[in-house]
Amino acid sequence: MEQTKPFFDFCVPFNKDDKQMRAILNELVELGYKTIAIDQSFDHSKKDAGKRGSEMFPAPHSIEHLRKEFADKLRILQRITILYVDVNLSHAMSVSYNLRKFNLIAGQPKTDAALTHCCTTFTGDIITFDPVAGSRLSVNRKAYQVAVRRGMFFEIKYAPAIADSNNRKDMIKMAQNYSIKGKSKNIILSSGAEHEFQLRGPYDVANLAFIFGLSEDQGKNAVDRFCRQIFLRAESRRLGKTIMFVKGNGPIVFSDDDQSGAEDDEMDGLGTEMSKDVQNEEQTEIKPPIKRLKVA
Amino acid sequence: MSDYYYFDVKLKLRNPEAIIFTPIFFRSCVLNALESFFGDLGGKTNMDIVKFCDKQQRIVFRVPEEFFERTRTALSLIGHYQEVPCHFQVIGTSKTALDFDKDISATAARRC
Repeated sequence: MEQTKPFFDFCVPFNKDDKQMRAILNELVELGYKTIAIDQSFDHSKKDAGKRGSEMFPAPHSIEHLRKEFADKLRILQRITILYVDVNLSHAMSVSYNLRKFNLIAGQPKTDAALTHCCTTFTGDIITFDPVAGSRLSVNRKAYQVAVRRGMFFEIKYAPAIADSNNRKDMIKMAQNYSIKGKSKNIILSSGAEHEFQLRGPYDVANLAFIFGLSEDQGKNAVDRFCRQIFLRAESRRLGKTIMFVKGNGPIVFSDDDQSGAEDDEMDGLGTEMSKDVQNEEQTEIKPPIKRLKVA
Repeated sequence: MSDYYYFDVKLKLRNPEAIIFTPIFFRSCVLNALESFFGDLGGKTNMDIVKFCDKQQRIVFRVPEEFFERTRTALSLIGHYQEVPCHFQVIGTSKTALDFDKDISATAARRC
C-alpha cells in the first residue's frame, strides 16, 4: 500500500533555485509536514492549437536529488496545475503521456464555463483558483455538487492571504462562496508559499480554516484526511487498476488435525461444486470495480 | 480559574539583526494584526505578556479564552515584523501557564 503520512501540503511551487527549494523543504519538515507536492503550473490557453497528436504537456521537473535528500523525512509528490479556458483540453489530457508522470493533476479554470467544465468532466483531482484574479469566478451550486460526488477537491491556498491583505479579502470572498454554494464540502488547504516565511504549521492552518468558513472538523480534515483521499484517488486514476499487495506472515494451515478421514470423503464430493461457486463468486466480485473504474 | 489561553510563540526572521525585539514592539505588532483583521473590537484584545526571551526570540503570552481563535488566526497571518519577512511559530497553546514554565530559561517576568 502506498504510504502517506499526515500532514499534507499539496502545493509547494517549484523553484529553480535549489537553495530556496531546500530552505522551504527544511521548513516544511520542521513544521511537521510529511507528504508534500511540488507544483508546476502550465498555461494551456497560450499553446497554439495547431499541433495535434503531439505532446502538449511538459515533463515533470527532475527532483530526484531532493527526493533522495529528504527520503526519510518527506514524501515528495509532483503535481501539475493546468490553467485553461477552452474545454478542448480533455482530449489532449486523455492522450498525454507526460501527464501520467505527475502524481496529482489540478485544474485552474479562468472562466465560469471552464469552472463548470472543471467540476463536471475534468479528469483531475483538485480544482484551484488564482487568488489574484480568481475572485470574479463563482461556482454554480449544481456543478459543486457534481464535483463533490466525483470526489474532486477544491483548494484554498493560504500564502497569498499572508502576503497581501487585498488578496486576503478576495480569498475570503472565494472561500465564503464555497461555503454558501456547497457548505464547504471537499475543501483542502495548502500553502502555495514562495518562500519559507509564508509557511505555517498544520495546526495553524487548521485554525485558519475558521476565517474561510470551514468548521473545526473540516479544517482538520483539510490538511489531513482529505489529502489522503485525493492521493489515493489520483493513484487509482494514474494506474488505471487498483493493485493489491497481500503479505503473508507464514504458512496458512487449513486442515484441522482432529477431523477424521470420513469427513474428507464428503468434502471431496463437495469439492467440485465448491470450485464452481468460487468461480462464480469471483466473477461477480470482479465486475463492480471495473464498472466503477469506467465511471471514474 | 481558566479564563485565559496561553500561547508559546517563537519568532522566525530572515535576518534577525535588522529588527528591534522588545515586548512593547511585539505586543503592538500582534495587536495591529488583530485590528487590521478583526476591526476595532478585535484590536481591543486584552493581551498580557507573561514571559519574554530576547535571546531565543520566544514569548509566552495570554489572551482571554474567547479571543483564542482570533489571536491564533491573526498570529498566523502576520507576514512581516518591522518590514522583515517573518513567521510566528506557535510552539504550544495551553489553558495553564504551568506547561511552559520549564521551557524558557533566564527570562524576566514582565507584564505590559
